[in-house]
Amino acid sequence: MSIEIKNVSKRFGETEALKDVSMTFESGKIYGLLGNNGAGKSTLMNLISGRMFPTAGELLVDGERATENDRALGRLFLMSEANLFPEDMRVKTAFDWAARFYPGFDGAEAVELAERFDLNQKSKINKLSTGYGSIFKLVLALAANTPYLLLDEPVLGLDAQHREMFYKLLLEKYAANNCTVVFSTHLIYEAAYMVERAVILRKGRVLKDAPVEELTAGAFTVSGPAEIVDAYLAGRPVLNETAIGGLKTAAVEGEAGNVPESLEITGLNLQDYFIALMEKEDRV
Amino acid sequence: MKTLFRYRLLDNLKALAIVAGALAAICAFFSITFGETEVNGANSLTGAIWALVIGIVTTRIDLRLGNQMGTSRRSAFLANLLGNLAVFAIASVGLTVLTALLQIMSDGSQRFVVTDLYQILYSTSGNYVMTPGEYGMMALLSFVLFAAMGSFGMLCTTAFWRVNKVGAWILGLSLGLGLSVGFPNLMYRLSPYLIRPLRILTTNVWAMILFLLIWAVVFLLGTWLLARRAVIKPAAK
Repeated sequence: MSIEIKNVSKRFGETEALKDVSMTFESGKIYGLLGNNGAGKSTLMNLISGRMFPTAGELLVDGERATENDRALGRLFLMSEANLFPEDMRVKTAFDWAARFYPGFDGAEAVELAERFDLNQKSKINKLSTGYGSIFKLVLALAANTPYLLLDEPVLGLDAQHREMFYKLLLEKYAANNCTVVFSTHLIYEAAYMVERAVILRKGRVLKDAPVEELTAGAFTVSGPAEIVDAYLAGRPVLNETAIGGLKTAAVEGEAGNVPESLEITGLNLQDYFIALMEKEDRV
Repeated sequence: MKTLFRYRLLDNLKALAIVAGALAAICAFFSITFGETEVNGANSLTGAIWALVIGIVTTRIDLRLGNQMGTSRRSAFLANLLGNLAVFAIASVGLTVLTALLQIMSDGSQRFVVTDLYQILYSTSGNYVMTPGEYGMMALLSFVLFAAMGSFGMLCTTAFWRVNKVGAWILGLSLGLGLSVGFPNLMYRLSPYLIRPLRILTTNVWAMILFLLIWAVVFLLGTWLLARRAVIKPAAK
């Protein structure tokens, strides 16, 4: 049971948004789909959910071709910035219809979540603010109870309190349903603790696809006097360096090995690893 | 698909209720205010314009909503089509019944006269109040007229959805110029050859029904060819 992306490419005119990407989103895991703006994250999610067609390659949901397949498409729910609901539809009406479309949709849960987020259920969807528009879609996603949940920038426009509420509810949903969650976010630091496996895209290609522990354990930060750091870094794969005054900090791939006493070694969190990786790629 | 069909049908019924109410109110207004009213072909023509609007408005809505709710383009297209055809059938029967009732109530009156397209073109009984069979044909003619207009609306909206901004300008101008200048000129130039077919269409209701059905099928095929690979994107703000 998984979503398989096999050698998928997507071209928009001259632009190759995705280039021969392959990955698998296995059942019962939380995936972080990370990448800079324009990396191809939204394009990938739109392809999986059938909003557009790949130029090449294949997308499978539980072994079935996802494209134009009601059974496959009914097993996933994509929450994205795009509002595909009729403009004059009210929030409560959307909940009612979602319950008819998705057999597992929990209407009572949707209403309860709406109340917790102070979402006005009588409001028309197109009159919601950016934040409440996101909340509306989040509530639908959490109540849909589909085996696969695709969340494209789910916390866009949400304040800190609502973001925290969402993360907590997502974890509760994941624990209860053992569903597969794939979510893309620029707020890596906030969401990192939930992500089991990170897929990092850059310019349409998969840069890294590995468990978060493996990625972050495979790199570290060294800091200290610039000269000593430079000597230590010689011959090592450096991700990025920052120098302030006579001090230098560098992110390095691999194991720390023998570390001079005057240098400090710390682990790298997912956000710092991501930033360091992108800076390294920028230099290539 | 069933759920989307149900959504489309219910949504269309609301629209039908509004149009029917407006039509009744307008007829009542003119009848009461001016003391006499003559309504010729309004039911069918009003319904035809309404069907065109239904086709234009609902197609993109259903393709979008369908995708958000895990439905393929194929199923969404079919649900939209069947939902529209269902309400066209209800509308054609409803408008026919309304016309029949109005005619029965106003029979012999000089103050309120209502006729419809079928009666004007095809009725052979010559009576103001037609036979049940003629009312049946009136409903059928209305239905295929609504289906053809609705399908044209679906084709137009899908065509505009698929083209970029420049393409939309070209399409819009072509449509406008075509309908206002091109089509009349073409008809004028072809008129010697069109007289006989037009006479057949305006004297033989089955010929007109077949003609409208063929156009409906052509428009629907065109709509599907455009919709099957359409990128599902939100409405422009």
